[in-house]
Amino acid sequence: MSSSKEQKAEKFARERQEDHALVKETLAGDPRAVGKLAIRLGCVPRVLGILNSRMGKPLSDHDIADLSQDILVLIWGKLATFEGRAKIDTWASRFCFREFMNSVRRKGRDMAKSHPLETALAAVPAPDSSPDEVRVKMVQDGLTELGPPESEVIRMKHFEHQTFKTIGDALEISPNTAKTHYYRGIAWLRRHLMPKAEEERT
Amino acid sequence: MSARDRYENREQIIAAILQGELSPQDDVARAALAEEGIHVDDLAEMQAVIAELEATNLYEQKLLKEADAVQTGPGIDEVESTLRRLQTGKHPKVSKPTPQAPVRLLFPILAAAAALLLVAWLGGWFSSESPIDGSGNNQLLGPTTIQSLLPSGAVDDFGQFSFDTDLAPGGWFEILVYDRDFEPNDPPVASSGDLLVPTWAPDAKVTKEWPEKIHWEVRSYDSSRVVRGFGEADAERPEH
Repeated sequence: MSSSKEQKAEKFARERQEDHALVKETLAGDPRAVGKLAIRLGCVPRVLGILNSRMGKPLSDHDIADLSQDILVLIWGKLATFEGRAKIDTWASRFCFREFMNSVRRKGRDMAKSHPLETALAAVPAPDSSPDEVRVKMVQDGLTELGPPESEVIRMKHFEHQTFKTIGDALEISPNTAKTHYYRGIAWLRRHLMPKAEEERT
Repeated sequence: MSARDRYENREQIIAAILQGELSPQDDVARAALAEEGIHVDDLAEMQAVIAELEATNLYEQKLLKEADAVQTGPGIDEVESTLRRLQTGKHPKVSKPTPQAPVRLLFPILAAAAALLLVAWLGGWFSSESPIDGSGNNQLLGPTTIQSLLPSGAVDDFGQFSFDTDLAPGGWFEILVYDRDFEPNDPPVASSGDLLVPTWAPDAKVTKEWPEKIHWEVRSYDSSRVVRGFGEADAERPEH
């Protein structure tokens, strides 16, 4: 009998496969699939709204509506690259996080150019004002800089709860090779993240 | 099977320690840690990295859970309407739907496009303004394709990025550089920020750290933040 950890991993794997199939059906032009995908991607505007609230509403409702459209367009353009290594809503939420942070940064910069006094009076909260978001951004940026295959193995291990065996199957490598990539990735992240985390603390 | 036999090298042993499969007090574990020069402090720092990864995962999951619970704001209908317009190519900001036309259809499509261009030219349509003219009239056509992207293909170094298009009034360009082997959810390796000229020369010290094979995209925005032009290219330099 499989352990609860394995059962959880199997459940996640099934959900990822279902999402992958849904994306393929959508790209094949199935109109029913679009309706189902809309339910899964309905998280996009809501995630943006939550991020905006958490960070003191640096963007207006109109900005959020525009950004939501932009992100859906962006996601649509990348759908063909979705391989089901994450669930579709998790995958989409990373676009939301990244684009939201970029948008706030851009708005802050525009504000500083056009209204230096108001900016000086902190009219627009800086994107780095929330410690959680700073840490998440640091980790996500670190994984991007690390690159595959190490970043893929680490994401699948810690964000998708996969076993080294299923990671190996997905990447067509042995579980032991997946472990090697995992250790190298963690060692690299330690060298790159720990000094930055120390800077943040001081 | 002994612990040593289960692993091919000490890196795998340390991965097993980090994942709690193997106790750091195990003889095989202690030997591997010693051979790799990893002390208790080092192991603790790696565990701290793992804790940060788990915290990031929790943050993402909590965010999605909160999003599930939200009852207000734009509904599924709006998302569905956007997706349907994207699927049918009727969204104002849409590129084409992602599946590519089969190669056997390419020639007839190109021939039809060429015929259309000829008719347009004979009709003097080329005397009208550029597609990116800031008037907003061409927005329904979707983004235009930005041409003459450099660097492209095999190059000695990435050097200066350039492309050929006009800047929309009040607009800007933005270049995003990705690892060619990027995952869909990976952020870019580098971003130009807002550009007012169709060139960008990132610092050589910075580009040196980039992957050897890159995919880069340029977007032209108008003053309303609408994407008016889009271009993409792959470039590759020799390995260091």
